[in-house]
Amino acid sequence: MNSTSISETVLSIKDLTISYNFSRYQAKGIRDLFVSFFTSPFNFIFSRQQKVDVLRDFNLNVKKGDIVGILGINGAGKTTLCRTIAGMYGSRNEIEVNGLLRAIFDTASVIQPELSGRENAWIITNILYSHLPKKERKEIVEDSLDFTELNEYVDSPFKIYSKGMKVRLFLSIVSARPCGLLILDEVFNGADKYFNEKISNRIRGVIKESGAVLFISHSEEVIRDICNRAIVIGNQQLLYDGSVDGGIDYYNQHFSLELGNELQL
Amino acid sequence: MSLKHQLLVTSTLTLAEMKARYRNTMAGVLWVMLNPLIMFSVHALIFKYILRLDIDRYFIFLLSGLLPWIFVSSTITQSVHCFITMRESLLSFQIHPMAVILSKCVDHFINFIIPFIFLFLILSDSESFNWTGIAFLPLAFLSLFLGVFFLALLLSTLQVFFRDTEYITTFLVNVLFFLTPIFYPRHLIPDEYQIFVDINPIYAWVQPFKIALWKFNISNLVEATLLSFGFTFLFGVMAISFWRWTRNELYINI
Repeated sequence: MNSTSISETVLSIKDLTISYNFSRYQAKGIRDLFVSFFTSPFNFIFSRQQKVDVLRDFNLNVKKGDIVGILGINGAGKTTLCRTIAGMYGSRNEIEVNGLLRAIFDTASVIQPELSGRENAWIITNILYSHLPKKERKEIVEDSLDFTELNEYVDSPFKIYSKGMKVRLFLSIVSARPCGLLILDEVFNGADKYFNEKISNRIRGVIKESGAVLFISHSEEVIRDICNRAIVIGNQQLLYDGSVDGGIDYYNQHFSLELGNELQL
Repeated sequence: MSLKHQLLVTSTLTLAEMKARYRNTMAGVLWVMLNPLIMFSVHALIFKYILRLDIDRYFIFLLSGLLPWIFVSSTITQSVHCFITMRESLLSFQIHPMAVILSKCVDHFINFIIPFIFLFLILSDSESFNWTGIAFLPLAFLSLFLGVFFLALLLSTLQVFFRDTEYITTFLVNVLFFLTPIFYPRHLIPDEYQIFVDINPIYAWVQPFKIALWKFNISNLVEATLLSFGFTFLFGVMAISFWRWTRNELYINI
């Protein structure tokens, strides 16, 4: 790889394996530990840990300008992959991100329901844009609150907001600035038709200005509209990496038809 | 994300927590002062004037024991389930889970230190303090804060995997309140049970405050401060090790 291509690489994943300890996956109580210890001490002490692989030897290279649509059935590991890239499962040597990363996994999240929409906007802005100076964060808050068109509701407690209102506020802040690598997980769910069109244009603008984007969606239409590359994840592996049309065709042939279009792709 | 950014996130979460807690309350932020002051007054009334415990400089004794205790117990009981209650935010944003615990600790620490200084200033009018002892207080605060942070991190991580950790913690904190020499002196405990005081980390964290303010003795203070940091280090190793061991499964279980 020459120096130009290295500088253009936004995300590099080499031989990434993500696995979970299945016994820890099942949340239980300390009482259950005592019961299993006294029921069968030998098994308790010597039983082997059950590992579940979500992804095995996964490789991916994302370059500047790539808008990658991630396809896969529920439980394939799409969100887990993106959360791992975002460093939420701890730093991994197999993953290298060049540039600022911003990741959004839920567009109706609440930080403090007792506080107003404006105060929550400040909290979300401080979390998402902690690298920016205070003046610019203030601009983001004011601009986003204007964009939401929530008017007097911005000073009402967040707990009275409908899901759609929360989505409006959240998406307006998220789409305020571009970044090096943007990870968006099902961000177009929840808003009404009018605001969906308005926010879609704004998010598309941010996507265009960002270095690269990983985009998870179950909507074929949105993937086709936004992405210029698609990958399909399944059976703990990268099954397809190429054009958007090719990725959607691959997905439809191998998963959707098999499942009777259950996934509404 | 750099340390500077994590600190901004932590301070944001702390302020949000404090604002949310006192929103729509009649006394508002005054509760920061009122709660420990009421506890202090009730203890002073019961043990000094009703039960008539014969303890020299009882108000100083209480200030140096009860207020750190309130900090420890309130921080632990209110942060043990915070990974679960903050589930939505932790899964949506790149918030480091430790920032959530740290914000809880800072919030409770502010609630502790303001009434502590307030009571100290009031009592300093009528009582005399040793300045060398007071010079040691920042170390006592540091050890206490870090120790409680690590203990809260350990318990809140345990809570993710063992949901009864919260109930056990609340039960133990209630029991430890009576077993720890906070509102009574240590010498009232029979010799055969003194070992339980020696292995009580909360007592170890509180003891430097007691020696610095109540019965100053430099060698005892140095020893108590070292022991206090020893317990902090022990909990630090335990909390970080357990955290690293379970980090991958944490997000799935919360």
